[in-house]
Amino acid sequence: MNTCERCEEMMSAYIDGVLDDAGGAELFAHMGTCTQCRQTYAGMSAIRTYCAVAPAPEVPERLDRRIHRLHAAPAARVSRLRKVWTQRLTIPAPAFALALLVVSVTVLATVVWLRTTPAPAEEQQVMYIMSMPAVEVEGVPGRNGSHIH
Amino acid sequence: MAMAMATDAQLLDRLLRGDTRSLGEIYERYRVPLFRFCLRMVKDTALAEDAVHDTFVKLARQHSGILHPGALKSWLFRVARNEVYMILRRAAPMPLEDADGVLDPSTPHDLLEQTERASLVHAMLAALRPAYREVLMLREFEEMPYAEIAAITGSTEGAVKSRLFKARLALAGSMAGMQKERMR
Repeated sequence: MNTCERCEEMMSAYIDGVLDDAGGAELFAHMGTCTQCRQTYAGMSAIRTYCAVAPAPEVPERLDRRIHRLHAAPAARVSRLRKVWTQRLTIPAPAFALALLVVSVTVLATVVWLRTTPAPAEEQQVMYIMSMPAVEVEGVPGRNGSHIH
Repeated sequence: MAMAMATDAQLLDRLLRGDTRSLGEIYERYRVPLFRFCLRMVKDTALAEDAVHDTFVKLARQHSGILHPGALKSWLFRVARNEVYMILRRAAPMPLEDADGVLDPSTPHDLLEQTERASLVHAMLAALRPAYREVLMLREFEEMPYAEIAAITGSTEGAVKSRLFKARLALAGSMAGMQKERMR
C-alpha cells in the first residue's frame, strides 16, 4: 500500500472523526504535497457538505394517514370502552339508591311469598289425601272416634 | 413551562402498556429520517412509503420483541432496512450485499446526467450499490456510530468502516470524472 492509498483510508476515518492526532498530521502533511489526494479528499468530504444542506424529503400525507389509522383505530376502541365504564360509574346517587330499594323489596317479597305459599305439588298431595275414604285401623281412632275391635 | 419530551424508552414503555398513541409519537419522531432512508434506498416514493408503513405495522405488532428500550431507533432502522431489501430483491433478484463493485450497474445512465436539476452528490449517492449507500446514509444523515450501523446492517464495525471508505472513494472518483466531463 503506497502513501496515497494509506492516506485515502485515513481520509475516511478523519471525516468520521475517528483518526488519531498522529494520523491526522500525516494525512495533512501528505495532502500538502499531493494534488491528487487533495482532490480525493474534497470529493470524499462532499457528501458531508451535501447532507448538511440537503432538504429533508417531504413525507407523503398518504403515509401520515396510513400510520394514523394504524394507531388511531385501537385507541378509539379503548376510548369507547372507557366511555361506557365512566357512564356506569356516574349514575346519580338517588337513582342508584332507588334502584337498590326496588330490588331489595322485590327480593324480600319473593322470599316471604315462597315461605307462606305451599308448593303446587304439596298442595295437590294434601287435597288427594283429604279426598280418600277414611280407613280405620285397629287401635287407631277413626274419624268419628270409634275403635275397631 | 414546556413539557419535557418523552425519551424513546418512555414511549416504548407506554406502547408496551397498551397506549397506542405512543405509536403516533414515535412516528412523528422518526417519520422523516426513516422515509429519507427508505426513499434513498428504493428510489421510489410509493415503495418507500410502503417500507415505512410496514415498519410501523411491525412496531405495532412486535414491539414486545424489542429487548433494549434505548435501541428503538436502531430497531426501526433495522426493520426498515429489511423492508427495503425485500423490495429491492423483488425488483432485482440478485445478490445485493456481496456483489462486486461499489457502483450499482442498474442505475440508469441518464440519472448520472441529471446533475443540472439535482445535486451531483445526490445522483452519485443514488448510483451506489445498496450495501454502500445504506452505510453512507446512516453515517452521514443519521450520524450513527460504526457500532450502531453494524447492528442495523448485520455486519461488523470493520466492514462498515471499509464500506464507508469505498463508498466515499467511489463518490470522489465519480465526481472527479463528472467534473472532467463538464469541463470538456
